[in-house]
Amino acid sequence: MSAEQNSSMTPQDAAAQIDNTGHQVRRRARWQGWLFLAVAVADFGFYIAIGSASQAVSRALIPLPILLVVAIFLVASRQLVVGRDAGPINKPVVAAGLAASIAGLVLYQTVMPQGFTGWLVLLAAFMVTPFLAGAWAWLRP
Amino acid sequence: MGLAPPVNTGNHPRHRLDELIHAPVRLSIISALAAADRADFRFLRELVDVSDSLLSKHMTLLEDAGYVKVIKGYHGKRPRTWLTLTDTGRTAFDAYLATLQEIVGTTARQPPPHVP
Repeated sequence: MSAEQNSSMTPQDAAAQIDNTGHQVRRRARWQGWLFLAVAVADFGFYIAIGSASQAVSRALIPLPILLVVAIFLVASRQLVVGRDAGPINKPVVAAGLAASIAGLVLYQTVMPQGFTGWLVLLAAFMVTPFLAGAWAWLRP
Repeated sequence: MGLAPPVNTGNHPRHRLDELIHAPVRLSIISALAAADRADFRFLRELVDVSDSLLSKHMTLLEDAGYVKVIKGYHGKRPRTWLTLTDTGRTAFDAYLATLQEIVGTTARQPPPHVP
């Protein structure tokens, strides 16, 4: 077999095929961005709910993050393609997300006014910022 | 008098194109894996639009050349086959791309044909 035997595929054809295939793969790998966006929205709702609800309701909501983690693993394990920059993007996002969550919880318990306030919304937004950044990294055009 | 066959001087960049990559199915496989960390066998089969056996045949060629690594596992009880590009494969693909760009650049720089 030689390159000449593949003469039906011109260099221009090959370049177009590479572009097209790469585009399709990157599009299919964007599920990670949608997953980060879903996590950001779910977390934001959770922080607002747990911060503004009564103590009994807050306690009832505590298992929700565990369910979210299980759902993430289930969704991720069903995917057929993982994007090329998965490691360099996902690891810092998850680490920063965990750090922001812990810092936010400490802030809320120590210096923040309790109950539903503008501060709670700001804090919840801060806590999900890493996940929004991760979503942007995968979904940007 | 007929046209003389083209003389293969070996200087044109097309002679440096990796023959293992420069085939439609394998080029699709390699370029898909170059854009991914890893891809499932089924995904590649749908993307390249070939049968299981043909994809397996090309995958074996690429695996034997050290370009692709096959990772077998399970999702529940269902077997799964992941494919990933090795460092050797990525280097070969980068070299292939550079050669391709050289050819396309050469073609683009050629003057338009003379029209009397």
